[in-house]
Amino acid sequence: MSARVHGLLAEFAEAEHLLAAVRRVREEGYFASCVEAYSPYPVEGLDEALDARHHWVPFWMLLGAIGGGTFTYWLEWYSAVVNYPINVGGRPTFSWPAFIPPAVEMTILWAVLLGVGAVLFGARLPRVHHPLFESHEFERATSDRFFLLVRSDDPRFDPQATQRFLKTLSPLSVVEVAE
Amino acid sequence: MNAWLPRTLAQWFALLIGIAALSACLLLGLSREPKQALLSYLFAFFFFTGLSIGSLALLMIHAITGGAWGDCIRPPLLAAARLLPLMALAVIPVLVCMHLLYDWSAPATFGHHMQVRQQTWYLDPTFFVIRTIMYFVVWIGWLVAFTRNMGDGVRARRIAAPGLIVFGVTSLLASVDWAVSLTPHWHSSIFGMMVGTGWLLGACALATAIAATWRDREMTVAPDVLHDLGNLLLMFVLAWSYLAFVQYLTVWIADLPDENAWYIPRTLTSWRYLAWFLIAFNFALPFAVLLSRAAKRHRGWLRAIAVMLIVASCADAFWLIVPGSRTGGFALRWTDLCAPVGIGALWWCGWVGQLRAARSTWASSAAAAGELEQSHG
Repeated sequence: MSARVHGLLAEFAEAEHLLAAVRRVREEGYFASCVEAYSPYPVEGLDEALDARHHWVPFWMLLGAIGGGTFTYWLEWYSAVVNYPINVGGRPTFSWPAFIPPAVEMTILWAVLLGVGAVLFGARLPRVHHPLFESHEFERATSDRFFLLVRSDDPRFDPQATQRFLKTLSPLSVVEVAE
Repeated sequence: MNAWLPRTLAQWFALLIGIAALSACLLLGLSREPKQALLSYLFAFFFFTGLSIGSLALLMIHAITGGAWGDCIRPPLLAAARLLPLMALAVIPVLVCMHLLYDWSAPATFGHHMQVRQQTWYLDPTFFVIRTIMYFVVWIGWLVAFTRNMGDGVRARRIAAPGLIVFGVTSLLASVDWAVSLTPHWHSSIFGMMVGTGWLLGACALATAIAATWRDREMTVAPDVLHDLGNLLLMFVLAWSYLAFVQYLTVWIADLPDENAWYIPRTLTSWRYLAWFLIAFNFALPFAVLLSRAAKRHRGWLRAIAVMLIVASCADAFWLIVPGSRTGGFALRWTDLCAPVGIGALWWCGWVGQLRAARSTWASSAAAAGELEQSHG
């Protein structure tokens, strides 16, 4: 028995070819969750073609923004009004305008922290190795090539039939990626 | 064909209403309550001038940056910018009746304040008139030079880049002259930038409202472009809010007599509800809605937000001009309605004509570009 297959990797020279290929693969009935696309820059429409419109990153960022801002503002109020009130030049202890800039900063900080966290979690990172790294062609995914991966866990996946199908999409190459 | 001449019934109607409202405001108002009538007039003039200058600045920004967002809002921006000569005429009553409006222009009753005495070389009636004329000469000159070379990308950029610097300097000086000098012993280094950003915000909101309304075949704006316009509005809302808040914060925290003079009538009386209105409708609500990707790509939502921002920008102009001279608290005069309706109706009348002209040249140039693409295709 040969080594288990992670999936089939098709290589394209242009973003439009990748986009068209993704649409054809989806039409063929492969699950969006088992089809992956790699490109050196964001390709307009690719997220739609992959049904990746809905993701949790904005939700976590909003949560971080509201939580971080509210907590910081509360903390300022608590420390200046309740815990340790000091008279600063006769100003009220609850100096609400002066409390806003730190709260805004913490709003941004926590939105970014939770956003980065959500991206890492959603992308299953950090991870030291990935089967795709075995493929030499894939090295160009960060410079000038566009890749489409159909993973072997798709119920329609068949090493021969899927390879034949991918070749009809006129890729530069189709290679098998080992697990 | 002259785009200035009214052609539709609605335009003639607007022209009539404009003339009627303006003469009521200036003739009747000036004979009864001259200072308050002129104050209303100044606020309306300030708002509509801001729309025109903001439009010119947005056009110049787009000439430098490019992008689909600017192509689709070019007709309304161009139409608004071309009304600058009208605003140059509209400033005349302010200049003629300056002594009613600006305390410093009548030195006999003024000038007890040490700092104000040192300002007299700048706050001088003749110098004030010269400066105001200069602003309009510079703006109209740039408008003519820019619109003539708009078709040529390189030359348009060469005019637009220094034009934006000039916009920054002149909007600072003009806003200080027209608005801040109503409270001559007050100063704020943020004011000009805040007003300039507010003008850009108003112009962008007006153009976006128009772009989100068009539904005919060649003019329908794609969701991606609406998204860009929504992001631009969000950016202007944030920039304006940031500057307005920082100005308030620095004044509030220092709490010095020279610095808080402007805010005392505005925040310690019932005028503060106008501030809350601005916070709600020029910051909080548009900010919250424009965070949503779906709202930015939805024609109806974006148009609603844009219209709201136009109204809020008008309220912002009112906030900048009026409360300082009605220190008793929130108070409206009938001229407060008359003046913006009057200037607004005339402005609208000219704008619709210019928009029609700008749209037809835009459509024909877009069609020519399309044919070119096809023949090369």
